Amino acid sequence: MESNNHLTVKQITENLKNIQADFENSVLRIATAQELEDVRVRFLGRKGMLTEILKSLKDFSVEDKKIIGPKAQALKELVQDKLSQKISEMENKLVAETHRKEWIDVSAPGHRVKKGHLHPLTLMERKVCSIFERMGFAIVGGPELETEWYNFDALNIPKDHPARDLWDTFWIKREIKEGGSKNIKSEWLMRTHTSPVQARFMEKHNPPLRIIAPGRVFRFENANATHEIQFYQIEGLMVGPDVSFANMKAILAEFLKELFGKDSQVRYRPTFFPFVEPGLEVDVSCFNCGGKGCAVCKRTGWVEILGAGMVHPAVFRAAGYNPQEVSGFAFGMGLDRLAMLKYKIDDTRLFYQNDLRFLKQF
Amino acid sequence: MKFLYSWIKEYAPTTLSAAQAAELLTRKSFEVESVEKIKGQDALLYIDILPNRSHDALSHLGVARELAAVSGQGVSKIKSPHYPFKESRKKTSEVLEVEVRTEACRRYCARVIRGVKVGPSPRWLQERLENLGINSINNLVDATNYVMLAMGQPLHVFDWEKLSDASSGKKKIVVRLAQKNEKITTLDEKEYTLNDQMVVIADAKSAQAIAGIKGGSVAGISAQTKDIVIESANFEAAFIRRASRALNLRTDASVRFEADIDPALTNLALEVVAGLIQKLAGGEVLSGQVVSGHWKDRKNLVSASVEMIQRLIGEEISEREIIRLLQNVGCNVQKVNLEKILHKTVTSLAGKPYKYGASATREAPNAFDCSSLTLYVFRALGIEIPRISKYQRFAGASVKQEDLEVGDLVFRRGKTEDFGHVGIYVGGGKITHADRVQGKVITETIKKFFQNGKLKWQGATRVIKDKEVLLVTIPHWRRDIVLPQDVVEEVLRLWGLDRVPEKMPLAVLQPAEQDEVRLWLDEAENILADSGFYEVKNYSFIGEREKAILAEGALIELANPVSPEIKYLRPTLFFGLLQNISINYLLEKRVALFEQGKIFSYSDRGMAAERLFLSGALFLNKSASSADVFYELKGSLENIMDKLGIDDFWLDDADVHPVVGDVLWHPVRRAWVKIGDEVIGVAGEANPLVLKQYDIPQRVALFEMDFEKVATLASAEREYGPIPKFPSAIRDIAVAVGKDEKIDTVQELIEDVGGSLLLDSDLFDIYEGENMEPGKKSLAFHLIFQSAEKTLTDTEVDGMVRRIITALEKNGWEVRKD
Repeated sequence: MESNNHLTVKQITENLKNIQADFENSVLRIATAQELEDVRVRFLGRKGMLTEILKSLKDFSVEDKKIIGPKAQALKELVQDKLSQKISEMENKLVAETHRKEWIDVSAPGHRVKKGHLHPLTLMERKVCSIFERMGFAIVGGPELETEWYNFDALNIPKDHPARDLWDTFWIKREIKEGGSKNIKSEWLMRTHTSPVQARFMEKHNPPLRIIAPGRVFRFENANATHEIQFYQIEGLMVGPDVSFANMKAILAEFLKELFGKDSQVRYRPTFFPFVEPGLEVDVSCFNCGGKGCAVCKRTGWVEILGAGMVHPAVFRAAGYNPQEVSGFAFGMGLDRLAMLKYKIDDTRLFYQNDLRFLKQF
Repeated sequence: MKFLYSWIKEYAPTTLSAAQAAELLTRKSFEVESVEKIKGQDALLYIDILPNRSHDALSHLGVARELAAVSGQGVSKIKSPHYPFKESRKKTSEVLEVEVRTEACRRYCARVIRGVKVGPSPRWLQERLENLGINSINNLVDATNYVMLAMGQPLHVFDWEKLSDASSGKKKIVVRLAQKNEKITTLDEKEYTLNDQMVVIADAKSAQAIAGIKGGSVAGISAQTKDIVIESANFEAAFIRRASRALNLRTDASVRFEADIDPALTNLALEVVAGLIQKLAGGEVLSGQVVSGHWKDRKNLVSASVEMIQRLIGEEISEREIIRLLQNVGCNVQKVNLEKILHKTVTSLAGKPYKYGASATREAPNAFDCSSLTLYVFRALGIEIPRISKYQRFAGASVKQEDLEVGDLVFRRGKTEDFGHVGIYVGGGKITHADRVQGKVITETIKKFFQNGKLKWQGATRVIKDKEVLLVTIPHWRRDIVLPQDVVEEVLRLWGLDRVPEKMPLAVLQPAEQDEVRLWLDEAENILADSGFYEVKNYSFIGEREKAILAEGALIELANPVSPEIKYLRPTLFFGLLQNISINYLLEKRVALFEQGKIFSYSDRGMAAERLFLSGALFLNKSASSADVFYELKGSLENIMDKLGIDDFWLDDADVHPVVGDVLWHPVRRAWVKIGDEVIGVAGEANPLVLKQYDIPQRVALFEMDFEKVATLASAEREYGPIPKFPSAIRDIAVAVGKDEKIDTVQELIEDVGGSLLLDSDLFDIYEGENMEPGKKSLAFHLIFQSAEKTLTDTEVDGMVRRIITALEKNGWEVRKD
């Protein structure tokens, strides 16, 4: 204290200058948080150089205070500003460094929740169904173990008619009465097509109606790459007071364009199915080659997709409809075939072997 | 069938190339599968003739007619085969008689040629046959084959000498049903045993041919043959088909007869073959055909209005165009008023005698019963109605008495039958009908028809929709055109299927009905796929191996299995899934599969029943504990139930004996899957003995559910519950219980005692092993307490926990509290 009294204003002013120079030098050298803290303590700490000077001001005369006070105060603010500037500089640097360490390799594979897959035929069925559902068709089902009546007779395929040869049939063994012949007289069978659903539905519902019926069907044959003893079909039926062939063309074109692309062309050829008249085959331009000819379309430019036609009056009559008052169209397609075309599968047996290496691809 | 293009062109002169003709036929008639060029600028067409056209188009003439029709020339340009011949003075009927004893033979025509020279056919004939895959035998047999390929009529030649004489001194051909077990040896020296539903061609003594299928060896042609009988006949298609199937003998002849060929073709083809044989083998053709059988040729008429044709196609094809196209096919088309034709027909039949059961084809128009009269009259109008009055009642729309119009069928109740009698309303309050009492066709007032009200009105049916129609006479060779819709098909395909514009239908905007089972099934499938299961699809059949495993229970069996593996309908999805695991487990750490599909079994009443099942199977190559595989599967089951909104699902292991396949399941690790009190399936592990049969080395857990039952219990309805306003308090306790103690039992006790303020008790750990008394396990629960009204104090919560602990301890369970 005493000694301070000996210091003159001039000396103090000189001290302040030195302190400032010292501080500016020190700040430049700060590299770590600790060094920063040391500098702060040395200048602004309880016994810091600047603190000491500010404390000693009380010993000066009012006049002297007026000279030294503001100078010392200005220096303190300068020190404080510089230090906080330094702090934020150092913080920014720290953040940048931390972020550099946080780098991850985004090209590494993700961690997946283990998932299974739906069967390709289910995927295809859902796809086809959704297109028709959007056009107001209801999805209905029917039994796989059918009666001869619904599978054949109600569809205008009478007993002893050669049209029955179009469907190789699995018959169900019935008890053979004693002394009876060995001929198959069974009236139960595994349905050979989804068309019985038409007959069943019409029996219980009045027109107008729009339905599709997906389901499993069966054929009595030796399985090979293109024929299976079972496969899936989707049947369609629209009946109303005035449903025409032109209507059928519009609905089927809409469906085929959704499934195979907007530029698809559709063509119709006459054929024979006992439950429709006229009966038609429906081809779509090859979606693989665009109609130029390739292996998928066997170089014809066309792929056969659907069987279709206007519902036969005998089918309406069997269902209790008056064919003079209603008309309608029906169509059917093989889902396995659609899936084979879409996914370029060359052996239909793959669908029922259930090898995971196959199923995982869908 | 294969066709020679040069042969087709012989009948249908055209400048089209074979490829052009094939394209045209494919687009408008039937599919030409391929065109094969052969020597001599000729081509073979492989045409897929379907059953509806096998009666006319399994012949070169038939395809030629079709080509003429679709190329726009019309069948009038057709040059039919024709070989002129000279007849002798001697009449065929002087030496040959034919007796048809069965209705199964519609017509039998025969000719006799004497003094033929059997020898090889000329080169051109041999080549044609060989190109079509038929061996040349000799000029006689070749001639019959040639005419069959040309015209579609199967023919047969007998050696005159080998037929036995009848008592009249003539040769006699008898067409009759075979006797039961009658034997015949066919041309290829095979013996067949016949039944009494098969038709044979016999001489005075024995069968010489299986009618419509194959000739016998006795009267076959040999090098020594001099005199011959040529047969050209027609049979009921169903008889030939049944016989051909029963004998397992399909021939070029049987295929054609099955297709119901035109009976009028018999006479035409016989003339052609007689001419050809005389040309090839010489001989004296006796004069005239001997013809027998019940068939009467008749005009086939179909009426169709232009409006109906346009409506069904959806495009206004002009009347002129329609007529032109139909004429191209060989139809004769007249614009008529059906009322006028009806009056004319009815008038012409007045007074014809009544005969019960009179045939509308054979006895009309000489005798009628009530419904054969109406059938006959409507055939004249080009409208086909059923034969029996009962079915005629439903051949059109119902009409009230006051709305009767000309042509409506009027029904009268009989003494015993509802639709005892039918007549035709002819206008002016009058009905024409074949009357049993007066014994003839009469026209009388409605009042008299109903005998002044003594007899009852049984409804009226309107069969005629449009009166102004095109009356189309169908050419005799086209037996497939019988309905107006058949006429539409002809018009449509000839006009051009692709020319019809697409028109979206106008329909009532009614939302499509949704199939609930299907919706829930989709949800369940999605959940399973999302939780690591792969969907599989197996055969709907099982074989002898699976039947042996099942040991008991009646399986539904195929009458015609393709192999021992595909013999019975699957009663469960179990086998398919095990099979799938067995082929996949070597490559995978985890095989999780599911399948949805129909299973089949006999119901209690012996009916076949099918149910939609959903099953899953899980195989883990490595697992921490032996029960992991079961619990992981159960977790998936819980996921499904959660998604389906079913919360009272549980597994019940008391008294589990599945109806089907008890032996399939592990003897103790199995449970009923229940929703509430209802059993909906089974879950558990596969029986180790069964796994062994499938070479599966580790445990497999499976579930099977009757998905129709599940779907009826499913509900997507969820209700929002308010987010709690007051905080919850959580306490953890661990209960040491015996290893066999069920978690359900412990948890139920906790929840019972905990009461309504115990929001949830969540099992978070099951521990066995070190630090545990042997034979014990520790169950750790989070107990979550919450009130909707206030914040629970520690004292309140601790009190509840104490009560729970006390209750647990009363059961002898040791409780540790954190």
